[in-house]
Amino acid sequence: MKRITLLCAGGFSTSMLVTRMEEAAQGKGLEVIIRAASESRFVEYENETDILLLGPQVGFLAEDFKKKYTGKGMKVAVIDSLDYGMMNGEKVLKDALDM
Amino acid sequence: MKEYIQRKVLPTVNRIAGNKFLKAVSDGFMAIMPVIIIGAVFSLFNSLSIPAYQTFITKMGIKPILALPNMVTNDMLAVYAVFFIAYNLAKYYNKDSGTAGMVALLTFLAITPISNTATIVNGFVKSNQLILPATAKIPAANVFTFDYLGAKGLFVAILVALISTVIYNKLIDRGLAIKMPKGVPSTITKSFLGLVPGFVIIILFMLINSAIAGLSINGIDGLHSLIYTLIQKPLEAFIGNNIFSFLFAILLAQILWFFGIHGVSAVILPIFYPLWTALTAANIDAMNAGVPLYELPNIINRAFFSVYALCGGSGVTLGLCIYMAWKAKSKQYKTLGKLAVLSNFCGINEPIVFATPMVLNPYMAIPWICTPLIISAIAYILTAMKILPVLTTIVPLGTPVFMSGIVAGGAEGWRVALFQGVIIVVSALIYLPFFNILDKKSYLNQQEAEQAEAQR
Repeated sequence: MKRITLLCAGGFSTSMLVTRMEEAAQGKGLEVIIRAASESRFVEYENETDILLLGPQVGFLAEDFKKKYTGKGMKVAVIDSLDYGMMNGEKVLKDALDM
Repeated sequence: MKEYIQRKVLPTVNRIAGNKFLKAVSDGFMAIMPVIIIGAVFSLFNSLSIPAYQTFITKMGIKPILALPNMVTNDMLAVYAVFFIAYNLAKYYNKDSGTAGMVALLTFLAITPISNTATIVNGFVKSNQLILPATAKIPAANVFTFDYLGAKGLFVAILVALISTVIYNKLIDRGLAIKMPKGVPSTITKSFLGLVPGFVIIILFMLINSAIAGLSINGIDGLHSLIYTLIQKPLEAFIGNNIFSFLFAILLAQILWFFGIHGVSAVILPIFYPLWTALTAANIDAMNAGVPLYELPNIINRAFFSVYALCGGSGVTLGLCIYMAWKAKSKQYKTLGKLAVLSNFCGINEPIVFATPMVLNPYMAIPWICTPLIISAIAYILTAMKILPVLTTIVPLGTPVFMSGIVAGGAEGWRVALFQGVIIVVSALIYLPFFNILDKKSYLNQQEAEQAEAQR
């Protein structure tokens, strides 16, 4: 089962997107664990994450996260800002799983 | 232009926004929010200016109880701050956060002046030329006075937390920690890990502190008074409680947002929150001492920012969002408005920011940057004219508009909430002319697409 973690500044707006992604996953019968967190607390989830998605507003952290975690087999990406704005859970989920 | 920004400007901004120290400070100040709110709410109940209520709580003996939480929260804010800033910085270094926080805390306390009641009383007796009866025995207890434990000690708290954690990290990386043989439980190993760095750091700071005291400059008896008089006090006066620097902060945050970077967490939280927090704490203290809400010393503070400048998220977009959901012509914006409106009430407006979009959109740049500036300026003027009360209680992120106004304004909160209603309307009016251009474009595109669809 894939475990996806979404990060933004406070974990508020990503949690909205998580709800939509979960709906999309359910609709397709996909088994995934998706959670949202504030980027400063990611250390708590680093061992429970296969795919790490950053909100565009904290996209500036992508390089740091990539340096730290891609070696450990984690996939790191910044969410497309229009998908993020429209809270397009289906598309974000698909992009994440296609990575 | 756009290319230049993306290639040259963004990386620099990214480096600053991603800076460990700035992030540790802002995370630390976010972490102590419950502490501040608990103290502020009790202060509010302690100082409600209704005569009958005041007589009641005084007679029933409740008043001292209501005053207590503020003493152990806002009056000791630096103690919490030093721990949590160090705690968060250690997290970025992947070191044990609790130990780093503990080392920073004990170091902070070690350089905070400790008085003795006998010295205080003797000084008082001498300076007033009093004569005590020969049998009088002056109690001699060691005490921390609250002076530098609270808002006045916040800058030292930041410095101590950052410097001590940097040293802590370096020492552990260099292997200068007591290592336990394998098989020793990890909790025990951890507790020994802090030992050597702890010694080094506390000794270093005590030396610096006594060196400064040894300089015997007038009015400066250590690190605390030095930093306070030389750095914190001028900063508070020139940057903190000043509408122009406040507007500058908002301007900076909005420009960063324009480039797609979370401006609030990049500049406001690490640089301005410490200052505004100190100003808020001073307001709460004054309120506790019975100063009326309209006479409190600091108009600019943490609540002023979140209640007015952030009313409906960065850029004050709530009015626009409601308009979109209600009246937008194009499907695109109508959908967006409906999708975003509820969360926008709670100050979460990323959908509007990224889907309108506000980011790198020349059409929206002017209202995006100007709206919060105009709203803040109006709020400041109305507060200075004593039409709005000075705000005290800090509201947590995510508190809905209107509720945030009621909470932050205390007994006069209804005025603040009412003004938030005005903000929604005014902000919408500023955005509208610009938004209508986008909406029209989108509507035309939509019609073209529909026609093309029909012809097929």
